[in-house]
Amino acid sequence: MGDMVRGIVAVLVALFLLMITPVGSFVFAGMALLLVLFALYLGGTVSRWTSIVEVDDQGLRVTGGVLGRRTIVWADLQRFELRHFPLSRDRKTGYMDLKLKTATASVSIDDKLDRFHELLARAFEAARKADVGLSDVTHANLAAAGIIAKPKA
Amino acid sequence: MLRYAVERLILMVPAFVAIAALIFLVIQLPPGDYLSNQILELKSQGDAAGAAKAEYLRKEYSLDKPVIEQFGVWLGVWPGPRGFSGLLQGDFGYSFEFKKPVADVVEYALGPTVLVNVLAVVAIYLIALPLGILAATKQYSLRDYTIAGFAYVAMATPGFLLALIVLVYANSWFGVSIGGLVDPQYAEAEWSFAKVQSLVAHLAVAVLIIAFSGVGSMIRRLRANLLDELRKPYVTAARARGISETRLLLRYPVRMAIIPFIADIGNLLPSLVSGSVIVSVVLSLPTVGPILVRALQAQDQFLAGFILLFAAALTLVGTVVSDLLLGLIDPRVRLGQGHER
Repeated sequence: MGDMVRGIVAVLVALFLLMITPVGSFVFAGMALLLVLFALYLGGTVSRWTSIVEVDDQGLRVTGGVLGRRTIVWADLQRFELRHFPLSRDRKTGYMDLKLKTATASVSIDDKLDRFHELLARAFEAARKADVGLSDVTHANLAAAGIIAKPKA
Repeated sequence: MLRYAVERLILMVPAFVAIAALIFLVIQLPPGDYLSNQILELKSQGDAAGAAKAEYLRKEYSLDKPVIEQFGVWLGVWPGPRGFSGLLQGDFGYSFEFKKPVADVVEYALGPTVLVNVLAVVAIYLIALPLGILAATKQYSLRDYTIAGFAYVAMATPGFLLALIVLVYANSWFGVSIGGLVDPQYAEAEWSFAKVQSLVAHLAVAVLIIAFSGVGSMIRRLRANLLDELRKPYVTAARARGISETRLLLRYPVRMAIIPFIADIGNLLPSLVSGSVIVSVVLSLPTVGPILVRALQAQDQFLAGFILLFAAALTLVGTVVSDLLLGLIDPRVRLGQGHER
């Protein structure tokens, strides 16, 4: 809900500022760029809201949203990446983003999705079976998410 | 990544408005304003025409309106006597001290300010990173002590003092003037290769002087961070696997040790802008620092407000850039801190 409110407010504010800025000025160009970025953000948020993610033993399917139907077959998994994006300087708040890729499709899912941890555990199991290499960043984030054991200090 | 970048930008807008409001309020805090004081002075001298002009400017720039309305007009989000005409519309206000629009006062100072300070940041990183690494990799060696000595001298030397010393000795030993951004004979001349050479030479001296103290503290912090990293078990494990020392060092410990410095980019720029004010005065650099000092002394609210907002904008841009770089370089949760949303 927070993303949607942020997106709508950002688009409205940018639109208002664009309307009171002289056309062709440097500020106008900057505001136009911001408006495009905010609109893309809002579009992405709407897309996530209208998407349905289904997971089973064969793979993961995403239907609805702006990008339409995409399928990740576990056996064909080529890339598994878990990134963390901090929203505060101490990195205590933020969100995780899981990127899965096969030769034909790629899907990005963030941890605001209900039962994200179940999905993450299932995808990690599939990545292990498919022998997908994990970066040290993904490894650290999996440990922080409780999917694998934390290394001893 | 795009989503993350946009989220940072969205957070930047209210932060910018809050900083702008704070700056505006702080400048308004002393009783009266430049024009009110001037009107009183002109009236006491019997200069009715001057007082009328000052009164006109007061109305023109909404100084007779409530503070909140003045703020909205200044930002350009509230219509004033000339419609929407504020920062957003490129009207930065009028400098009562310099008797011309703020844009004209800062026109030739903003470029050199950004150039000198961005180059100073680059210089700090370029000098401190290799020296910090060299010191940490040979702890308690002659090399380490030499670099530590240099770092302490750099930290303890005020920029303006160094500027004065360089200014005096450059003149007495080499007979050259390092003041300004170019030699005096090129100040009004057309652009030429000789003028560019002069600019580069003057710029290099100014940038190194401004960067000097920053280099010292960064060397010390980098050395300490890197020593911590080098003692971690993963370094021993990597050595046991036979990874070459240089590759091991650059790939993991250095990467981890420089993360706090990337987070510092946002703070470095404004501190350099404010910290370089006295150096700019000593070296006669055409930056906004000396103009800001004069504007604050004269309570020239639009000029001071614009320059302070410019420094705040640099902080915000620097913070967003450092957040994005951190997201790229180290997108991981800190272990042991838990993960909250």
